[in-house]
Amino acid sequence: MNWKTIFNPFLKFDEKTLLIAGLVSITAVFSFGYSVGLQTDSLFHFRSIDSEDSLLKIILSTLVVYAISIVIFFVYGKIINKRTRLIDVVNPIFISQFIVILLLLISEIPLIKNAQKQIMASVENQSYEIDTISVVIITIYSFVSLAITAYGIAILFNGFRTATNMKDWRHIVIFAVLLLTTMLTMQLL
Amino acid sequence: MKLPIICPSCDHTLNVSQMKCPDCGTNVNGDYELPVFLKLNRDEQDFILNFFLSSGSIKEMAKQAELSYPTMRNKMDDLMKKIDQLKK
Repeated sequence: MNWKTIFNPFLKFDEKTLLIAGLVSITAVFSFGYSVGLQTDSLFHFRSIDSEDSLLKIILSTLVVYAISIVIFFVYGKIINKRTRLIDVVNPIFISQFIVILLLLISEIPLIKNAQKQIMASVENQSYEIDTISVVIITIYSFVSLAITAYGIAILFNGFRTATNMKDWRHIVIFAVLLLTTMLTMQLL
Repeated sequence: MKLPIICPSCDHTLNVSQMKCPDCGTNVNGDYELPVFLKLNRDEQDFILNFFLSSGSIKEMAKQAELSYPTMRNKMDDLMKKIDQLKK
């Protein structure tokens, strides 16, 4: 597997293999998130589960997030290229979500959890003495999280580009605006 | 032997100025434009040939080339655009 395949598996693999990988990806994200008390509330984003929410409600709200994203990007894909197929839009959305597992795994590392607690305690106590090591740990954690998210977005972008044969820079700008708007709107809802 | 289709000096598409019968040696001179198919590069000609040989199935071509269907369809769309431009 070369770099091209790592950043754009949609060039090579057939849609059925990708769909299976995507379904495994979102199922794993849901299961792992649920086990640590988190649920997907937007693409590449998760929030704490409300203790009053039932499992069915959590599953439905997660599915709504994916459904809205699929509809938005499929309609946009059809506008760019009439030959865009639904499955070619669904696959990058599903597969790109596997990075959420990595984000969740990293956030569960005790060293990072302790550093977060220490910084939060300093903020709550309005103390100006913040542990340097904690700051360094959180800074590294932030950069790693950012890099992982960027990789997920790259997977989504490359998949969408392959699905629609998008080349025009104006289409790319609209895609970026659409992705940001969709992500932020869903987080607010 | 590879048929040159682009001018090495100015990159313009070349025309045919002479053709020769390999049997009797008769020469025909003129200024003939290349057909669209011959204006395409080797890979593009091979693509069209493979498309024909796989009964016009992009799916089959993708399978043979070990590429995904949308990748192959995108190649086809790009080639169609290029042919449209060449025909103008």
